[in-house]
Amino acid sequence: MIEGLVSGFFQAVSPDVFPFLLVGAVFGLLIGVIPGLSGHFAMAMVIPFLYTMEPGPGIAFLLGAHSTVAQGGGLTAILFSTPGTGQNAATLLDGPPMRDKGLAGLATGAALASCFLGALFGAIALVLLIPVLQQVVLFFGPPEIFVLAILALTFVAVLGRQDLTRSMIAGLSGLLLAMVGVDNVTNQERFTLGLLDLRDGLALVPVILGLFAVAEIIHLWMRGSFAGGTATITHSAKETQKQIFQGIGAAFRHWWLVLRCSAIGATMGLIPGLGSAPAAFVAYGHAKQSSKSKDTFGKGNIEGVIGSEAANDAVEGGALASTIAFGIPGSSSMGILLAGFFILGLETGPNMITYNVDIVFLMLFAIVFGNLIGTVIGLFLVNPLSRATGLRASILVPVLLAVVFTGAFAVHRSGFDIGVAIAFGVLGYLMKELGYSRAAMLIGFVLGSAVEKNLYLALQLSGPYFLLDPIPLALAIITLVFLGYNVWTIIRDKRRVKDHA
Amino acid sequence: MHDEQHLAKTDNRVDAKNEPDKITLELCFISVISLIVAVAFISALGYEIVSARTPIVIMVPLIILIGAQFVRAIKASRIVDVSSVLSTVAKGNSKTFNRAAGLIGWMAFLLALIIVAGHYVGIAIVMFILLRLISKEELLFSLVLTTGVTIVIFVLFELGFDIELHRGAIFRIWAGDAGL
Repeated sequence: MIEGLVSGFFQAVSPDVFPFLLVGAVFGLLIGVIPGLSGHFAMAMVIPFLYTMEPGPGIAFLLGAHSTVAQGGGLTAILFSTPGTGQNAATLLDGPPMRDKGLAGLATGAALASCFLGALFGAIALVLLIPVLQQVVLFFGPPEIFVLAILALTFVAVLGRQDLTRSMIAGLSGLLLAMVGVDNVTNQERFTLGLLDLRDGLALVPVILGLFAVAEIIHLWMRGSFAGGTATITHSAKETQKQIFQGIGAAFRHWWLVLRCSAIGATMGLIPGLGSAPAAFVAYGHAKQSSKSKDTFGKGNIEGVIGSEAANDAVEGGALASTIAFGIPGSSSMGILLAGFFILGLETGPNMITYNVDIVFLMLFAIVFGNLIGTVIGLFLVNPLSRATGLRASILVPVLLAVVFTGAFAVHRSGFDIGVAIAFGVLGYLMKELGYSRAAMLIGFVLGSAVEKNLYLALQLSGPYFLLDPIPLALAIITLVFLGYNVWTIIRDKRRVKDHA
Repeated sequence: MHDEQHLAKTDNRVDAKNEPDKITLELCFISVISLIVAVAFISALGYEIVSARTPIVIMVPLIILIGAQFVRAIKASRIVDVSSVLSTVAKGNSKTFNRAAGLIGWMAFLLALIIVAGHYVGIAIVMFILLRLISKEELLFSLVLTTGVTIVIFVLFELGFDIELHRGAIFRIWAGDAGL
């Protein structure tokens, strides 16, 4: 493991990899500060380039972009009361009040440093989890992976912010979409409409670009006017910078709070479907509960910013653990990441965690260094970066459209893929508007072939009673109890609302 | 946290009741999805058992859930509102629908242009139209941005990543290659 750690570190800082990490981190930060363009947008935009890259630079590029999005989103949450990404929503509670008191630099400095420290904690948590995961994955064969995938999809559908029925529809539709193409076992064409382009199934890149990039572009276009808020920083760049350094110092002074909130984030990251936003709110609640000055929360308490920002970056370490160990992504960003691994030819699961542990460490260092780059850039470029939020949708949309269409085409040099991106863009936009979980659909789509393959193997190996083996049975019971409990609580709440009415 | 989630879900439904546009959109959305799934289900019945097994296992609960959601949407809607929204859209008086359909139309036009005239010509023309004609940006700004982005894409994809973008059917036929 030490060998893997050293190898991962030297790969991350090597001249072949580091420039991609830098470019990815800057790109992620820029996307993060533009409200309306989520972290998924940044990751989706990076995916088409992976086809021409080696695994090392590809991982660095992808995770570099992913790791700094939250930092950029934190900046806009504080400066413009508009979170760049959903995971920064908790920062809105105390960030903008601090800005209104003339402490914008202090809040952004604390947010940037907390993000970095949170990511570092998440990475360390993952390192500590690796030996445990190496043992656990050995118990997971096809029957276990099949039931685990269903469990993860159920968690994503239930714990997501959207309505349960709609999320289940989205998840199952994603699984169904993965069935398009020639069945590897029987050579039977399924749902191809006789089109040659669909024989290999729907390509991952245009589907991801459609669901998360084209859909956001349509949303931006419909919203019109400015992408972000209109507030401006009242301080000079020098004064802001001074405050930022003080904010960084404050984050380090509150190290115990950072540690606790990061632990909350990393633990919640392990649970598929929870994601960063709930972790940030739970951490915020904890910071408030454990603070000596509870009354000032919501009125500009720096602890509120530190707690939520530390948690939303620490989530990544935990989320990465289940993704790389079992190949089961717990969120849409992990789904895109898993798709990126497929493109780079990396196999998740026991192989990666046992024989390619250097790749796992490369991921960790990419996340840590990506956050460090984001912090350093944020230190000096808060004022100019904040201007990116003033970009009008009318300017952004044509530019993004050109780039996204080029990305969709570039993978297979196919106009058909652009058509797929448009179709999924419309679908993604409608899903966003109507509250259907795009994360559940993507995870269903990414997991679809693994679900089918593992079901086939499970039936071949253990017959139809594979569900009665101890681990699959336990996982199936957890799935049913979890689903049943949530359905029961919905019915109960409905009754309560009726009774009150 | 669960209580908050369920409260939010309940709130969503209350909001939805006040939004005939969204209810109508959802009814249309669900109708199209159910049609697609129904066709897929019938197709799957004709496949070999091994190939049909997983899709059917997925589609059975999917059809039940779609049915349940359709009933919910119907219950939350009023026929008068739905028909009013549909007739507004059909008459071309819905600004939201027109704006979204307009952008999707431009996307389809961009795809057609890329196939016929090539990638660079396509993105340059559509970018310029969206910037100058639709969004009324200044002429010089529109020209500079269009040219700049096209050059950046060329440098990034062709020189940086060695990815040759589509030159267009006209160019390829001219060059003696009939493929699109």
